[in-house]
Amino acid sequence: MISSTDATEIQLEANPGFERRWNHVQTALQCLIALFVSAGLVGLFGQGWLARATKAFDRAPLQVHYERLLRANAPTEVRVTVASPLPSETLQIGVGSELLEHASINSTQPRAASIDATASGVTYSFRLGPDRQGAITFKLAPRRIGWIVAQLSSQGEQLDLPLLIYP
Amino acid sequence: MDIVLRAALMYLVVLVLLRLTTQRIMRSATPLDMVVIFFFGGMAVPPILSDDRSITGALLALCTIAGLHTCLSHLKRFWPVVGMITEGNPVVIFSNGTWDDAQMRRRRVDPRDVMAEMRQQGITNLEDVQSAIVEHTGAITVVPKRHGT
Repeated sequence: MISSTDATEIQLEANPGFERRWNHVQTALQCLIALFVSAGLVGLFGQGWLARATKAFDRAPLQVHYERLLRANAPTEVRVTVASPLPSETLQIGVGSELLEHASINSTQPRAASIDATASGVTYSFRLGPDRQGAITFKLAPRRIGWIVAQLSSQGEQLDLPLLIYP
Repeated sequence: MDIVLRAALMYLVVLVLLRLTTQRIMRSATPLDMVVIFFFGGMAVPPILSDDRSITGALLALCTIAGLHTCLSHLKRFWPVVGMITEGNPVVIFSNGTWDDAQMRRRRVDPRDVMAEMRQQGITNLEDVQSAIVEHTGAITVVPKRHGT
């Protein structure tokens, strides 16, 4: 390293020891930034292939597409699709209190025919029409950070959705 | 993933637009230049973050931009063409009493900018200037005539 007195006659308050240590810290931080961005690209912090998940009810022909890695104050969606015609034109989906404590359900698509409070959460009723098939989208806004197991129920079955909500 | 891609896209868009619009913002912050900075800063953020108000989302966007900036800074050391594209080259706009009007028009620099730089260096007469150069940083370097020349 060129010392300040070699380089110029101007008196500098150079601190080579600190600069050397800072260079190590800087390199480590730049590697961390690269890792963080790479993790973001693959969806470790939501909205990527690592975050996307699909689960199905055991007996009911319902599939749930959701993101298991979420961010607080960032909107997300839970999509319930009906794979084959249901016995009834009405689909009832129960949302457990664990999810309701950590996230707000801002709206559903299509709009629910009725919303009823129950002891274990809230039950949404949707009219599917004569096809008795379709897809329901819940638009969520996670509020509280943490690891939770959200519960959806339908047709007498319960489905656990493990979620991690980042700050 | 979306935030990383949006941040990268907006970084490149703003970089190209700044390169096309003005090079001298950091050096001569006139109202003409500052208005560009304010509007670019205000308009670039909403498309990146959208409705996302999470700390993780903001960190991801910031780290993406910091990472891209670091990468480009390293790349221009290995491939000077990257530096030429992102920052440009030094250009002589005044030499031995002659202005290069074509270069000044391309760089959108006028004699007042050179005069201001001259005065900052304590030179009051254009006849004492050998040449003026618009650097790739956007700064204007005024080279005084040497004594006896």
